[in-house]
Amino acid sequence: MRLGTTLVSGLLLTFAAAWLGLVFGPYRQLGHLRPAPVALGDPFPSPPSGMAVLGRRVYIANGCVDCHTQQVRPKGSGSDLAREWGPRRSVPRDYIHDQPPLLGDRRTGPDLLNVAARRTDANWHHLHLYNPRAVSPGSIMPSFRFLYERRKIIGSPSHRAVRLPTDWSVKPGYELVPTPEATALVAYLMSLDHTTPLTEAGTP
Amino acid sequence: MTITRPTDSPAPPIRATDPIDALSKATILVFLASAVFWLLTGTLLAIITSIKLHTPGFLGATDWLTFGRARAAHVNVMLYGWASMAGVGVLLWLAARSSRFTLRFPQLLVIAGLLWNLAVLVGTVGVLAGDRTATAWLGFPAHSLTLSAIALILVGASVAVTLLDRREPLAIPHWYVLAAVCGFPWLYTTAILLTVQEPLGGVAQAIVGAWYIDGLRGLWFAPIGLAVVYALVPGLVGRPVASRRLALFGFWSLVLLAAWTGGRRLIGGPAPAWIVTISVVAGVLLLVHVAAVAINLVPLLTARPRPSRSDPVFGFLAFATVAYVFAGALGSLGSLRSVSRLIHFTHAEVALTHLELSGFFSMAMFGAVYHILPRLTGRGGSSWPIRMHFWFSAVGVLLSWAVLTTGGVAQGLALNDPQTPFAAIIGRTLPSLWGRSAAGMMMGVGHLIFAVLFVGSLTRRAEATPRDAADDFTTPDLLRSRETETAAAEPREGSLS
Repeated sequence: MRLGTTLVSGLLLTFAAAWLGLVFGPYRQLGHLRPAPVALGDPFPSPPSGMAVLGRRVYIANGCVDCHTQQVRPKGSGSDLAREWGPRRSVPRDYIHDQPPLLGDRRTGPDLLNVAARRTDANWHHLHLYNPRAVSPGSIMPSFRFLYERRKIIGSPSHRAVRLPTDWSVKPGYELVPTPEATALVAYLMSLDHTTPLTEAGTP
Repeated sequence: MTITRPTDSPAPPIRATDPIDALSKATILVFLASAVFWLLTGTLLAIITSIKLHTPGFLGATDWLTFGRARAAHVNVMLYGWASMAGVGVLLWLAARSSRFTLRFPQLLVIAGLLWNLAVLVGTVGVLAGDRTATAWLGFPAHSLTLSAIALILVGASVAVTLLDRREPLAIPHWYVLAAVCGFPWLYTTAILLTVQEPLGGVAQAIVGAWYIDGLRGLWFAPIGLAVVYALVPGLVGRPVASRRLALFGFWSLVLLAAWTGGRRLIGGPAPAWIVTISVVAGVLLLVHVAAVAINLVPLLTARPRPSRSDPVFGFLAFATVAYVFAGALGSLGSLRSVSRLIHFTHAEVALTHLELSGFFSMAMFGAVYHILPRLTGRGGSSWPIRMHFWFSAVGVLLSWAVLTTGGVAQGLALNDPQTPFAAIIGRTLPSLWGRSAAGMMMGVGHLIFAVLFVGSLTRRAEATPRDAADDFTTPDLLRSRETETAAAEPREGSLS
């Protein structure tokens, strides 16, 4: 019993040390970060608003994070900057409002940290989510058709309906309307913009 | 049933035919049977996920089985339904046979088994319905995580008390058992608390997530698998491990380093540089642990003559041991920034994870179950279906590793070349994704054979209980022959045993 206790105490001490290092340490260092002041504007990053908060939940629920990262690595750690996934590396301050953070660990699809800066058209996002291969040939992204409603046009078409290209469409007399989840998801994607310069990221 | 251990009479040698008390036996079987069920569920989800990645239209665009949900369900069912429940069943067996087949608090263990199943069930349905966390390896919704944490603490307490209460010195497998039951409940509850219940914000939470993933591998799956290998292999080949001191060194190097390597998952990412650097160093140093395991165990695998070579359990354990050493070496290599630059975010990282979990851990569990089951139920069986299971699993694991590694390296090279458009990168990985589906189906056939044999063993009529040298691993003769010399030369080292 006594010898086993020695072993167990040793184990607990070792684990406590690692906990102090990799759990408590980062919290002490990063827990107090605040938004950085920006000349002529709101401090960056600003807290997420309205639909984007809801859209973030849709993003998590459907496992977007399983294929898309949200981090831009510096020069020397991959081609992130050269691929124009962002003008600078990402730093801890970029994520202070992220609860939970969605850094991701797989790049089956491209990085999305600054997707709002690249894709500025909400209709493109809707088309892409509904039928990824129609706008992005060779893509293996699943279709998120279940976030859209195909419904018969009664009276005048909905102003929220997705504008379809002429070469593909749902049945004549029908329209494609995003559910609130789809609208929120696109609002979230269109909020993903971390291009504001930060001094600690090494850009002016 | 009894929860007190036998009194102070001189210890009789432990034999497989010693009566195991009914409740302890039932508990072990509850965990193992649940694990088999979840293995089949997880395998089905794995094959669906794998096919969807190269053929996104497969099974249509339904919300419950969209890629992200099916994958999260697969990962978490495999980690917590199959691997952890099988692991607990094996831990209970190892603890039980070390204490004359009597577990402490068996009633609590039955409750733990039921809670755990409930947690996995509720979690899987939750994930498929869209209720999941963002931490990949802790994907079940919060209420499910709480249930399994309670179950885990009950299991840990029972195993630890059973082991610490025994009279004989602790043998090598018992160190690893104690490391698993002390380390993982702490790791699990901390991670749940800080990522789900009272989540840290931003990058600090991502670091906890990374710390947890490596901890789960290094302080839960690795020690359970190694406990099995150290417990059964010396008995099967009829000789002790080369050096007990080396085993002790290997043990402490794992315990010291495994909880420090998590930051290597954030190389290049928005984490403080010191965290990544510490983790890279720990990851590379882990090579000494792998070397210690290799030096101690690999000679046993190739030793001649092999008295129990005909035992099908040996193949699984030998495969598991070699996979552990190989995956450990690759993992240390992958910790280097230069290698990470090539394979980070690619399928090659998935390949390594599968090599560790399917090649090392699952194979060790298969071997352990084939060893334990006849001893619990009194029913043996012919060995050819077990051999078929072995070959399907072995070829499936190797094929999966090979195609995902080559595909992942091609993917990494293409990702690092900014001139290669993203669609072209996907095109380059498609052949390996198809290959992975084929490998997954091969493993699936193996898992089906395993399940059929398991159910058969529970339902068929009792025969004679097999007995062989492997049963004697806790008795003094095999393990202690060299250790007595060591202990005499160095009393302090011996005292830790």
